[in-house]
Amino acid sequence: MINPLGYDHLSYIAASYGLFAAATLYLVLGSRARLATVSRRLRAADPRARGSSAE
Amino acid sequence: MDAGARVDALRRRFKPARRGHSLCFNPPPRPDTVTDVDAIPALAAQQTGPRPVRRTLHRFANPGRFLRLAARVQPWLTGPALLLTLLGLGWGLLFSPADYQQGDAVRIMYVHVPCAWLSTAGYAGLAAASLAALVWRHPLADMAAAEIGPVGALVTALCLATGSLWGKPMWGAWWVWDARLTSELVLFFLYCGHMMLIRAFDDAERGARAGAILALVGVVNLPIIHYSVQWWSTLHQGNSIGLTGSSTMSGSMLWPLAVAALGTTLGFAAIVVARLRAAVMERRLRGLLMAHAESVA
Amino acid sequence: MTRKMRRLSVILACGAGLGSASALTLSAFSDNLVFFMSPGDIATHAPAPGRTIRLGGLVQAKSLRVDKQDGEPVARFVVTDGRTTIPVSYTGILPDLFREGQGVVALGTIQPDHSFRAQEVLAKHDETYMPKDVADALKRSGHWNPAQGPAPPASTWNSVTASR
Repeated sequence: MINPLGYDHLSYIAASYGLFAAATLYLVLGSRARLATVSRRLRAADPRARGSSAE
Repeated sequence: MDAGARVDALRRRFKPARRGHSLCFNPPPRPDTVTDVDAIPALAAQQTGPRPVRRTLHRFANPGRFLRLAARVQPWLTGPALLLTLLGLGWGLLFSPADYQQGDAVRIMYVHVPCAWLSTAGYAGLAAASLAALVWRHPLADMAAAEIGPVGALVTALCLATGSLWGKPMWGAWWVWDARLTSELVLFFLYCGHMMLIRAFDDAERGARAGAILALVGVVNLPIIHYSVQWWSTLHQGNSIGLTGSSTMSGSMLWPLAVAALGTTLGFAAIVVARLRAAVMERRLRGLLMAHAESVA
Repeated sequence: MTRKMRRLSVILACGAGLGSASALTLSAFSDNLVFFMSPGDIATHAPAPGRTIRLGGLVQAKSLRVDKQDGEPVARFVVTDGRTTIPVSYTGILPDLFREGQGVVALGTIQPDHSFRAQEVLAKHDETYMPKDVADALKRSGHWNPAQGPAPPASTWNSVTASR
């Protein structure tokens, strides 16, 4: 097992930080994509919405 | 949601003077508006014009005003959140010392403790939004509760998973049924129950009300989680950092933990604000599409 | 305004009722919510023979012996709560954090000779987090003996370790 930091229980530590990073990416990218989609569809649905819904 | 929103808008129109916040939803009468009022930007813009501001919080009941304010606040949450979280976790993972007992496994604490803190703080936010929805009928409160729920559930799941990953090498068990772990699991089920309950009714307003009641009942669990390690003998260790009194954690570990906790708290807020903005815009979009469909038909 | 006040007071009344109901329930079931029994608890109300219980306490200093029996390690140690002690035997590998003077929770049964036969041993660590050098300094300066009890509050560590 590669253990560059020389830590004991490295697999448990790596799994914890990995889970956290995955969940953060999911939340951040998910909300960004949701905002982008809804802004685009809002602009397409009503040109007047451009002013008030712009980010 | 759309059915409920439409019913809501109609009802508000017919008895406009009864509720404080109905001011925001009370446009000049138009023959063709059988949709959610805030769906039409022109009207939403009109509503921000001169009118008495009765209560501070209800100023944000106007969706247009909320969107403008939230879009301005967003970068000030997201930037510091990413910066502080990366700083705190990097510090904890690479530069903080190993524990005299637990060795390097103590580094799991820098993700576990912020998740545990956010799972309870997020639930307190969910309960506050539910209270605002039930008592003051704040139009954004139900949406805020609906958006906090999934984020809180994910954070609680992370807390349980990282706790498990910490418990196996240290205690010798992935899971035990002690009071702390069990009450945190109950918190996860409360989040999941709330998410399902608000979607369980055909009438979205009834679902939101049932969910709000569940959220308020679940508040009982918060002190149980916090004090479980003092009231009953548990395998989980006691609280190291108290609101009052002395901490039993070395400063070299406390500082990275505090930075990571602050960063993830800002991150939680940033994600909830972003989701709430998206939800407000989605409601507006639904209203627009509905109006369009009706004008065509 | 009155409608809001009425809704708020209904919610507050429900909350007070629910809160006191759960407080009463929790205090009534308090004994069952305990994850483990201390040696003192077992001495005062002994569990039925053969019933599986959890025993929790500190591993008494200098009480651990590990022998090999049929190729399996057999650990014998004494669990104490400061007043009462119980000898424990366990066949298997002890967890990493198992140390003398540290907390332990063992699942097993009381034997006829009043010893405890464990099927599972979990290590319980306390809420003290400190780097190894601080722990060493505290021990060397005589401010803290891990076998005697918990570490002093963290606010005092600096003044102790700075003098080394």
